[in-house]
Amino acid sequence: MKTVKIAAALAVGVTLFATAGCTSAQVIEPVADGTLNWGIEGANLTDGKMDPHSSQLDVTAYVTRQTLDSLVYMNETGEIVPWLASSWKVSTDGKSYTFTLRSDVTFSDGTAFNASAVKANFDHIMAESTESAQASSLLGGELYVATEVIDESTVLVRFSEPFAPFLANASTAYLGMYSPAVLASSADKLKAGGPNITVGSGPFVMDELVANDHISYTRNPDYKWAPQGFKPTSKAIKSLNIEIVPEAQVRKKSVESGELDVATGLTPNVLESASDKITVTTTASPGLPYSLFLNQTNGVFADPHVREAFALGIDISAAVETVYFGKFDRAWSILTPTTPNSYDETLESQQKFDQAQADTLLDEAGWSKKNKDGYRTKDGKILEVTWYSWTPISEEHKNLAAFFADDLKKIGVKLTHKVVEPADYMEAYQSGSFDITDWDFVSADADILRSHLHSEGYQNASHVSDEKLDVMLEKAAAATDPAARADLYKQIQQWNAKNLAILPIYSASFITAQAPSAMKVKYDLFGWPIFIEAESSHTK
Amino acid sequence: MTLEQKPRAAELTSYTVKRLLGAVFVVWAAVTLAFFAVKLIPGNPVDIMIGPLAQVSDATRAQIAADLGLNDPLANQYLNYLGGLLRGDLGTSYQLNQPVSEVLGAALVPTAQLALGAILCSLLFVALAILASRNSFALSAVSGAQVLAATIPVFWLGYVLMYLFSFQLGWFPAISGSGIASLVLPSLTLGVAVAAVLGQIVLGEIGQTQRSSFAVSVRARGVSGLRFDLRHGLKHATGATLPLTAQILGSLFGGAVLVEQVFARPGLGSQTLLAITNRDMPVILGVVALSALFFALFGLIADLGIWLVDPRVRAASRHE
Amino acid sequence: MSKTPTHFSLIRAGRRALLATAAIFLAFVLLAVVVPQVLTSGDPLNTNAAAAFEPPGIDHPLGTDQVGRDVYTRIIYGALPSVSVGFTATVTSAVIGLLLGIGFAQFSSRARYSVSRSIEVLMALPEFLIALFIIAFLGKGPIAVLIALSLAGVPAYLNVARNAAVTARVSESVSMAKVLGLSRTRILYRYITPTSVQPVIGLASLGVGFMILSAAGLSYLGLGVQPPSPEWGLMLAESREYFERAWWLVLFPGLAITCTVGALTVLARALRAALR
Repeated sequence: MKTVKIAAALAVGVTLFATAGCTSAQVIEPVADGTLNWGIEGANLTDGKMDPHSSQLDVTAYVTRQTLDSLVYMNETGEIVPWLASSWKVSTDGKSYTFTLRSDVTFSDGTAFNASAVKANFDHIMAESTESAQASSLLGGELYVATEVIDESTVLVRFSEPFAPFLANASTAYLGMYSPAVLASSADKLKAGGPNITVGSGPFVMDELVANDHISYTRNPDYKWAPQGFKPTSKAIKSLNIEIVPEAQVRKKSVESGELDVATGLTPNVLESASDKITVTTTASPGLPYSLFLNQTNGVFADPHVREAFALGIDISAAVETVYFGKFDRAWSILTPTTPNSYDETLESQQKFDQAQADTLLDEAGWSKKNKDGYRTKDGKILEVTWYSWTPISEEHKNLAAFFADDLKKIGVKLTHKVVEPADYMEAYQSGSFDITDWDFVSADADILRSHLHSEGYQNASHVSDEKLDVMLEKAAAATDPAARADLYKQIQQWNAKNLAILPIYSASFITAQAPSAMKVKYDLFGWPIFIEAESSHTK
Repeated sequence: MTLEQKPRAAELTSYTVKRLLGAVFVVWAAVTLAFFAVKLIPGNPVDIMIGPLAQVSDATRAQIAADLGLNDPLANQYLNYLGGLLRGDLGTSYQLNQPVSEVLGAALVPTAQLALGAILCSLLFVALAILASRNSFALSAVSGAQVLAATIPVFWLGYVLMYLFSFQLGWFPAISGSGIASLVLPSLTLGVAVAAVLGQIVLGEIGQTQRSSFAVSVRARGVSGLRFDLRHGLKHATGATLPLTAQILGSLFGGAVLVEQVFARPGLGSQTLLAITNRDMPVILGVVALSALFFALFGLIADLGIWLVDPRVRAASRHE
Repeated sequence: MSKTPTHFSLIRAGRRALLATAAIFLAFVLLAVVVPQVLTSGDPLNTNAAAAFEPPGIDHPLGTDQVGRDVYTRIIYGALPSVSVGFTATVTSAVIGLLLGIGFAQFSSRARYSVSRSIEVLMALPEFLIALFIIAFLGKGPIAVLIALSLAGVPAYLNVARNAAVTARVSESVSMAKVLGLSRTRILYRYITPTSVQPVIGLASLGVGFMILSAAGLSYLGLGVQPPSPEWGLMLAESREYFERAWWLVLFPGLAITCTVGALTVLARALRAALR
């Protein structure tokens, strides 16, 4: 009797212990109609930047990526794989691209996807009324000739010169496909965006947009044309909710507390205290690193010695180390190390910090007198450099400016950092009345340098005008041989290192945090999230 | 001056009409001032719409300017705008490409929620203060709290509360989604600021009433201190607050702008701020028009209320 | 609870102590505004990459900020930008309001009508909105904030001065002066102005704290003084995202504003009580 009782007690005890052990090692399961909450900074997004055909912002691309598909997809290794186009051919002269399109694709408003749709989209990008700078440049800019409909599922894109970056560019959301019905009826509303306006063939369909607050989507049930490599199951999320949360700290905290499943665009500052429950992904951004553009046409930077002294006079490495808590690397060239097939690593550590040398250069350049505040003067004018940035500006960039201003004071240069609203910024920028401006530019192709350094580049903030450089940039855009391209870009980087039109500062990474409640979220080579097969463990 | 006890219907009507005309004038004046001020602001609205770094030909810019009616003579633009106002059409936002009425309508809801929450919280604080002030030692504490409430910057208080209760303790959501939970901290913060102003008036009036000569006779009849305060003190306090409600609401707006910024909440305050940053003139004009309308109407109602209640005001208005 | 004499004297002593503390603190603030170099040898703009985010300690009594600047030095040098705009705006609007209020009776009835209606319009809009609008018009910066706050503040002072002038005008002393044959200007100068000045000063003493808070709020929103100025509202805006790693960056600027405005309010209340 006693033995049975003891055995029974033991059995119960062991079972209880076993189940207790089970619950403490809980496995999170995806639910069938899951919702995923994604927090972004979203600055300026819903203030007229919802159209990837006209916006230059990264956020436009990674948000509209969820609704608009592209002809091809670039996976994390940089390889181009089929998406809306099932195959393609490049002509031997490199000037024409023929795409064979899938025949089973429809836009969420019922319009069929076909060659005319592709033409309508590309025409829209190149139309003047769209005011596109980036997308039109990605589509070749001056080199673009036309898009021709060969038949229902064959479309031909022609350029006047070979345009090597085209396929990579075609994979971006900037060349994403809108429903032609929407392009015809609501072209003037695209920038503001909205449920029946931002209509594509993508895995998610927008059903609500509240400016500066949130954007929500429901899953497109007919979505069968995910790019190669994506296999969404029946457990894939049924709704996606994008929350616009301007502060990185709040985004991170929200992922930790479960209010958000994914938060992107985090800063190194908030990572220090990240709990280990969440997964942090850091992707070094390819393209142009955050740099200062020295306007060599109007002011003191017309003198190359002044540019050199400026570069020698600021302790960039120390500033970057402090401001980014050691998480972002100092940039040594105008392309980041992860830009495919182009980075020149011989430039690392070449730009020195040497204030004594800077002083000598400035003295020799004629700025040898100093006024009572310690600033150099020549012919009665102070050696003043005005740096324009537009709002909203990150605290980190303000801090960099504070460090640089202090450094420059020590060599007698007055740095004035003007942070102004976009309207005022535009005035200063277009009139050329600035000495320095700043930005970075994420891009999968080194061709991004052309818009910045070509004498007719649309982002040539440094006002560079060098014929030999122009030729190099054009040849690099046209070259189909990767080795030749790489070599040309190395030459271009070397040119800049000598000329100092652009002063690289730091190479950013795109930082994201993911809660355990989100599963199967993929990140592309920019670190931007793709939710095609994502799953979630909760329904609201 | 003769003091009549009850207002006559005809008097009421004429007073209302006079004040209504005054309110209309105020709104018109505010809108006109704002309109012409806006036109004088430097900066090309077409540039604003297009944004930095876009490639747009001059011909296209000219077309956009013409479409917006920017080339019409100033007087025409003004009359068109006024006409639109009467129809309820406030124009279209440069930035958002949406009708201004829609933009502001959407922004009004969260701000109204915040304002309501703040008013409720402030009433709660003032009620607590009244109860606490019965104890003469607590009275000093209450005075101190009042000074603190008036001097502590609302954006400092808000952030500290958010950090402690949202981030650290996790009692409230950090994101400003819908729901009461996300309204608590912002309402409390703004409520403190409003309670500072409100409390000063109310407690001041209650204190004054306590010291008045008629208090002695009422108390002599055996009415308890609390009862007295609630019946008579509060009545006088309400009378003193009514004329100042417009002011209080005005400070509510300012506080709301700051609180919405601290808690990253959408609303009229943040929308106004955005419009100013983006030089989105139609929205700015819309906010001015809306505020003028709201406060003028509110002032009208408050004035009517006082006129009905206080015979002295009635007598004074007859001499205007 | 009976109110014994000890009880009253305790309260009175407490009040006196509070007043004394407030006065001393304001003297300190005044020093910081006028001769900051006396209170600190540092430079508010001097960055130091190696010394960023140091907690309060021996070298830096209030710690350092995100670019290694000494917080104590910045708070001291910040007194001028933080206090001057609010203070000047109060004085400006009080003076304008006083002059307009006193002179009101001298205006023609047309002028009186337009001024009254303009005041109504200004009072119909919230002060903050007026300030925001003027800043939209003039651009950001301390001058714009100054003009905006001054304009927004005028109506209150005008009303107070006008009411006082009206009361004074019908008072016995003025009637007697008229009988005695004193000129209008004389009456204005000797009777009406002093009577109107008193309530204006009373209002201004309370209003200055509020103006300083408004100026700090506008700076917090990025519309006032621009970085790298060590203005206290601006410092609070910049220190938000560092709260977790550097609580001192949020605490001290906030304390500076609160204590300064608090001290001013305590002093103002005492002043009003004394004037009564």
